Amino acid sequence: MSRTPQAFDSLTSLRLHVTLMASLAPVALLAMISGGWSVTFVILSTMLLAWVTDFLLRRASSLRERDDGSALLWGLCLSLLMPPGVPFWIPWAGVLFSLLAIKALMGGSGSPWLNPVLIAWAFCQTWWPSEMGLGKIIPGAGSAEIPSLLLEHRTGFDRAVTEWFNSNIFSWMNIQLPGGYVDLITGLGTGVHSWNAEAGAVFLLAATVFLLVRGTIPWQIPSYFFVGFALPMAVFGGIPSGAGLFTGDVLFQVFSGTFLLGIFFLATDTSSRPLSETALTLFGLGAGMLTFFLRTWGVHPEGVGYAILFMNLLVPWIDTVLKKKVLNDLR
Amino acid sequence: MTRNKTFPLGGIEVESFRHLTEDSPIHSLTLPSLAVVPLMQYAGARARWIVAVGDKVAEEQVLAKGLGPNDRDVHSPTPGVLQEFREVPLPGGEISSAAVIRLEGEFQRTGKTVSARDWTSWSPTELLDCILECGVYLESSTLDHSVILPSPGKPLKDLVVNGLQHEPYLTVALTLLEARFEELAEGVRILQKMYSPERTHLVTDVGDLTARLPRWKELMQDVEFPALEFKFPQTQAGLLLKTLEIGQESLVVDVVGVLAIRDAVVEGRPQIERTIVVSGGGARRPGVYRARIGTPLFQFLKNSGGIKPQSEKILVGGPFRGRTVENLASPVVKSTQSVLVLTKTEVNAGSESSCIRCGSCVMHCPVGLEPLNLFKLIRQQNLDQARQDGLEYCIECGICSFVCPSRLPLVETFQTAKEELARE
Repeated sequence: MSRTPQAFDSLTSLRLHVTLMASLAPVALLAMISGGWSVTFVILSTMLLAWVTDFLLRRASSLRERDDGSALLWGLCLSLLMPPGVPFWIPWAGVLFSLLAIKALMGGSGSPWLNPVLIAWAFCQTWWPSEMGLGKIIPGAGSAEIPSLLLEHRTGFDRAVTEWFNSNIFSWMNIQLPGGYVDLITGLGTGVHSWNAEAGAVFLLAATVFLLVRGTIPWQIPSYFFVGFALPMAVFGGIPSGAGLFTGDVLFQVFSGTFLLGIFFLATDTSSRPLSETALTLFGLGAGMLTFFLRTWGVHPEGVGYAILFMNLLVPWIDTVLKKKVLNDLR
Repeated sequence: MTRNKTFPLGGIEVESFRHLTEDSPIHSLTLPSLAVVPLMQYAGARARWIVAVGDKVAEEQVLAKGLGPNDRDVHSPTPGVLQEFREVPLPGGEISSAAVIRLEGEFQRTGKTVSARDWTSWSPTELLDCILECGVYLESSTLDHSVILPSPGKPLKDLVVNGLQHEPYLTVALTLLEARFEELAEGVRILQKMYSPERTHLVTDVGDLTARLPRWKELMQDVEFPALEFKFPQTQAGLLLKTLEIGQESLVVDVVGVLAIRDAVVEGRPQIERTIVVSGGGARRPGVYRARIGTPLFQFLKNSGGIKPQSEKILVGGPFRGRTVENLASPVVKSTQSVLVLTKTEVNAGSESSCIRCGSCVMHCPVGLEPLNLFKLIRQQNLDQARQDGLEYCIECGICSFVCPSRLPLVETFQTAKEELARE
């Protein structure tokens, strides 16, 4: 006799992970186009290695888990966190570390309470700092260096679009869009981005609109992550460069680095995010504020990854504190 | 416009699929030539036969007497001859003894006009006796037993007439609300006479009912019409009271039940038929049908249009708490509110994969439990901790299993664990 329920929601774990991968596909494609063969190889081989390792681990495990597509997604995310031109064995090492040490030892897809992608990324960054882009380019918050780098590689498309917007739209509001930002947002400028994920931010945003409308990822995390980051950045972001209050460059900060990938795809990772709605809000706000601090005053250029990892550490506590009160008078 | 009311935590707003059947008239189906009348008309019903094989029975004659004060009598749906007693599977899967009645002889009621009885001079106790004698089954939100009518005399604060749909696809309450609202109003007056409640509420999830049916206002001037959202599992008794912000000194009776009470009191008619919705992507002619108790489901389905070849499963009840029909020889019983024929895309079955901790079950649990953690604890045999985390307060609505992307058998595991705890 079959018991309740008789029907199910159409979303499955496999479908969830495949949807997320499909949403990242345009970014991955742009990264491959602008980065050439080496980036293409890094992305594809990392995904393949993740899938094969996961397959073997599942075969070896007594649990006989079904493939839910999570390993492929982890491989894709990790390769997008790599700088263009990274040696292929670095993300490979990251994948192996993450799957063997985090997934297998902790017991399956949903068990790691630290984001498996970011653990792999932090592992790579700690072992191979120079290859991982540390020290090469440091987009220190508010520093004038990066926008100048954008200008150096500026494309004709950027010139045309920026000019059109400035003379037709922004002039009304009495503001000017600096050169190079269109390249930054569309990912067209070659040699501009320091991480694969930076390519094609516009496409990433478009995909997330779909994900949020469908409820595939919880809206609380990206929204409050943005608020927690953008508010202090707008107010205090200009201080390190001596520009004073209310001069922070939020637009540049949001579209540069792995910020968008971080708030929409990494912070929303199911295994390492908290459970209830209020907990998601707190988690997002906390990670956003941490990102601001790390980016503004930290040694690492990229605050997002570590901010999420630090918040992951607090998830068990957040879940305990924000546990819902059980309604015990319904029967 | 005022916001529709709803309960505090969780729940799920799913597509109602009402459009399939909401404009349907009530079709009467042909009588079964062989009616199979089970002793057990709903889970937990106890009765004993008072007729024997070979007896000639009249339409509406009592076939079985309820054992306890709250057990209902079973009546013959058709006139005929008792051919045999036979074990039959019920739509929900239980096995029950059943009387097989071969149709023959005269109808006492069908096709005849009945004069209404004047019940206004009856005492509340007389009214209750009449309702019990007519074997009126009152649907409860959990669908596992009949609502027990309290004996009159105790003060009742709130009388709630439940015009909500329990689950997606179901539209019987909605159809009857529009088709038989004058009789329904009379049923409400009977209940008011029995229990003299301080307030009477008629709850629906179709917005402002009085705007839809202006005559309700004239008919029922002392009734309030709260509008609820369509959000599962809003009909669960505890949640319904929470939504309406009323206390435990209340009685909830569904629309179908109120009409059965009215028919029993006004026409002296026992419950021998049932209004059933046939719906789902696999049903050829979705609609609302009236069938006699004892009509075998294969005959019922055939007469109501049949099923499409791409059907995946047939169930009684809704997609959340319904039961799969294993055997189409099962007859229509008093608790059969719907027969759904679902296709593969409506069922979305899948095999289990590991929990990804997405928290969907936590966000939708109307009780505020953490199903994923309870599940883990039960799989680790840690029932004590599961109990401390509130396992016993689970209302088994099934939302957690419905939303789980890894298709974990959450509510099923909780049911088994709760039974185990109850045995200790």
